[in-house]
Amino acid sequence: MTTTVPRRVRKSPAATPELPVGLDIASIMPPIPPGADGVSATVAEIAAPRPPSLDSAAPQAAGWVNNRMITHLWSYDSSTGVWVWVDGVGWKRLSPASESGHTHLTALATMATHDNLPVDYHEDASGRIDQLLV
Amino acid sequence: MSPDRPHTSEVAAVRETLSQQGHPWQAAETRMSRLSAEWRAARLGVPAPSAAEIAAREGQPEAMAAAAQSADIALPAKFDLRDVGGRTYVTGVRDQGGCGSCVAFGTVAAMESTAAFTRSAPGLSLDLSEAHLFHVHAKARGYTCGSGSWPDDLFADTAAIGVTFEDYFPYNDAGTGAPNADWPNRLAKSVDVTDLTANPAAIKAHISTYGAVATCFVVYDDFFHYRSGVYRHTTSSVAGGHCVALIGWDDAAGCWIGKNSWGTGWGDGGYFRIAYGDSFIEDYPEPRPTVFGVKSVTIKAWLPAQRALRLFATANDANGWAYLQNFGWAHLAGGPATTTNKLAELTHARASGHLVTPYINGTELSTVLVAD
Repeated sequence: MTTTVPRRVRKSPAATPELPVGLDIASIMPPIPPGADGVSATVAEIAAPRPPSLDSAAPQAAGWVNNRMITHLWSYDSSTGVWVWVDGVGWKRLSPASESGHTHLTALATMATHDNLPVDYHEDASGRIDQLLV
Repeated sequence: MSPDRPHTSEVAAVRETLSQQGHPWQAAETRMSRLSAEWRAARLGVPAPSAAEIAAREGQPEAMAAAAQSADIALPAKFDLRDVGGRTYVTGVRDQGGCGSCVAFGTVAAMESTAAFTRSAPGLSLDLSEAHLFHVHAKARGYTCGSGSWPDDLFADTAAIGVTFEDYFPYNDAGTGAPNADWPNRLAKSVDVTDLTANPAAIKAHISTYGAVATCFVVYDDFFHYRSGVYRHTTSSVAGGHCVALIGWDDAAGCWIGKNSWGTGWGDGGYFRIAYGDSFIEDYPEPRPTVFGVKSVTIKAWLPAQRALRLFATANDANGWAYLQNFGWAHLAGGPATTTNKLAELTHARASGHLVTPYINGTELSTVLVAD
């Protein structure tokens, strides 16, 4: 008897809720600066990424990045120790600027990961995510 | 002709005049046509201009029309708040009934439009209480249904006191009833009331940037029978003064697009088009200013259940935002812990599609109810 091994089914990003036609997010709070690439990212068939090295050099700041998927989360025993894996980009640390802000970014990143929702995010000068739109 | 339908000959006379002029607009029997002269006048709530004031404005209509046509070239040649990218930022046509409360209706129409347009939220569907504005605020100034009122006074009240929602004080033309005692907690206020009198370019810029504008104009006797087309008065017989909301313009037709408060049985479903300059619509024959808009409208109220379409947070303390489907962006009020709690509820709502019932205070999301 042949056993059929179920193939792994790749989850598709959830449909994005409709926004009002012509909504210009840059014109309302919070502002979204121009310059993002707007390239649609997909969930890549990749091996689970390895946790980031905490002493690695800070990556190049990229400003605003649009429409990316967060596929993995990682945290260590620090109140501001959460990193997220951005598909096609790599590990990004959530900014530790404040504990509550860090928690809020984590909440949004968790939702985005759980529900396969694309995100827009902004990196600070050290390459850490300091603004997140889901 | 039936003796109880004296307006029939009146409408026929207007049609005859229009025919001689090549049918610039269409006249028909409207719900206003069927009213007596006395009841028509009751719906004109701006004190009538004096003959001397009108005489002193000779040449004004031509000057205003020229100014409207030569307005900033950056403005579109045609604009209509009922169709901005396929969405409407104009609330429904109301009926002021037999009371000279038109200024309250024009003012509220401007506020409702601005509240939605400045938030890019056509689903806001704000319905404010003209009764509160007229039967309470205007009355406190000594205005009555018979006296009419002036928009500068009523706009000032919308900024200083605010207007509650229609469900807290439904309108009736008799002025009976009173606002719900909780009205201070269900309130809209005007911000940056702007005088646009005698400046067609500024009127256009305001409509296309912030929303509808309230204006006063002279009503001639033929206006009651307007059905469609671009209105130009065909008689010099003045019935009184009136206030409406301007919601757009059309340079090719040389006209403003207006929203009246005589119900949908008058005009083009309650709307009308009037030639630039006609009837002193950009500058009423009166020394005081008569054209106003507001730059934003703050809201303090529970709003209907809706979806949270986007969430936003930064690394700063207590800086969380939600984009509500029919309101726009709202800041999560309170300190860091409160923001965390709200964000937890909202992430659930955002992900699951559950509706959020928000209590809004300005741009702050004060209280949030998420329910299955």
